[in-house]
Amino acid sequence: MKSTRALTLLECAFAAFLFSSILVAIFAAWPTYARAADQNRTRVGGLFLARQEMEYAISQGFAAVAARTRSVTMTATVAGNTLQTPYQCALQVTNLSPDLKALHVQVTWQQSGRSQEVSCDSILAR
Amino acid sequence: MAKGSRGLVLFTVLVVAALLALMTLTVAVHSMNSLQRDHQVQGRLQADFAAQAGLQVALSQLRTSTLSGDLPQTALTGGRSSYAVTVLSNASGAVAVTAPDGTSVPPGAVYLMALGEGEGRHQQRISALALRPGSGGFDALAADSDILMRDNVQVDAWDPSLGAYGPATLSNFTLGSNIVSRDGIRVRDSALLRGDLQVGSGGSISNVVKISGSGTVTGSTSVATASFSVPHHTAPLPVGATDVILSGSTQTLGPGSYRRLRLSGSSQVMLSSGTYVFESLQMQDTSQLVALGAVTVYLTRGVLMDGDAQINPSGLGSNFKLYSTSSSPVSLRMNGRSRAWVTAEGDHLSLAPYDDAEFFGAFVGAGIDAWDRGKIHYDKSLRSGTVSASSSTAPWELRAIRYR
Repeated sequence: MKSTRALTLLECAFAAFLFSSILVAIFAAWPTYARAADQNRTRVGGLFLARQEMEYAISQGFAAVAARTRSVTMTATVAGNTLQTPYQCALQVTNLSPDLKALHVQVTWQQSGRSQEVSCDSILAR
Repeated sequence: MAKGSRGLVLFTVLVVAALLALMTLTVAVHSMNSLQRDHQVQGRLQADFAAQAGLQVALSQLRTSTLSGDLPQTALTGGRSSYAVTVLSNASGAVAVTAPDGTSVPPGAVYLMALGEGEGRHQQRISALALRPGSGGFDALAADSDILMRDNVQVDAWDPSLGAYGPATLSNFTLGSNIVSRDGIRVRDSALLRGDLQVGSGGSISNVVKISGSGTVTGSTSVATASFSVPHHTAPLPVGATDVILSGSTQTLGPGSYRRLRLSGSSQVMLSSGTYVFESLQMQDTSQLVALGAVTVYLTRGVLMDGDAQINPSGLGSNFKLYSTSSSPVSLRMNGRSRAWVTAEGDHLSLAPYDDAEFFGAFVGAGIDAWDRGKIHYDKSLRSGTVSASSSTAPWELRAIRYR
């Protein structure tokens, strides 16, 4: 009986140590996951804007397409909090030949103090 | 302590810890998957536009007679994507040939298969036929690249010289197309085409037309002797800066350039005779867009009609010409019980009546996609209308564009 009590005490101490260690590890990981989720959200917005900008450029046609830049702010509501992300969209047009123009779309935004971007390229014929 | 209780605390803690760890792992895996998926989407986006670039380069070389064969893999400006184009020319052939993917390439046409590659080696294939549009000869209800009729859709024609649309004024007609791709024309479920059907020049009926379920074509199906041209329209003015947004009120507009037209409630906009440029039209409820005379509307984007909205309720389709100037796919989408009496045309414009919507008039565009109880009634008085004739010296154009 005496040895049984000693074993339970040791067991409790070990369990408490194990449990608190795991909790600390889990709580330390959550901010990383939150940042990853936020990064996903802003990247989806960037991809959407890049597609929109390129389709706009193509729809203008060879004669009318022209370089432009614009700022777009996207608003998302996450768990009751309103999050705003400002994006910069840039469309560059380069003459490859008298009959071809290169289109380059770049969408940039800030994420945790770091600049992020998505880009895509296409060509428009006369 | 009973002997059987030994180890219970440790066991419970381990189970709880395992559950927490599992939950955390699930969230982590989900986050990683989302991130990976976003990068895949980015790669596909780049591959998509790179493939389009390949088609444009091949088209340009065809127009300048410098296309001598396949285009090798070429990097685009940003260096993150590239394209390559496989070319199968039947430009001087006398009979149709079959491309590796089963597409029938008619005489006079060039088959192009563009492969775009983006970051992460994501790929997109787009095939197309390049051809010089031939003469017309179709009724002015025709689609260039795709016809899909499903559910209880009905497509027919009536002769206005015999009276208003109804059973007594129905008339035979030919639904024309340039479609030569496999299953490019699908008539499914209980869809009904009261008329004849034409597949594109050089196409194979059994290859192109797929009728399933209770789908019915009452007339004959044939192969067109020539392709027709859907002109690319260019607006005479750039899109304006003024939005016209009404809810339950009435306004008369003069010819000119505007931005968006949004009508809801019982709004009514009257258009005086002349030419208009809009970015887009969106109509809901019982709103109406009325032509007071002959009106031509150029649209850079699409049309969305819902509820009981009506365009040109006078019923004179020749009075309301709707030209799409878009270079990317847009649609004249009609939902609810909306009605339109128009002559619509655009090389990237699709006609899409859903629900109980009804389209009256003429349409020559990229595709027809009708479902539910959507109805298309071709106005035969517009027969001489919109299909353009052209010659063998017409510039090369892309047709039957398909994402693979």
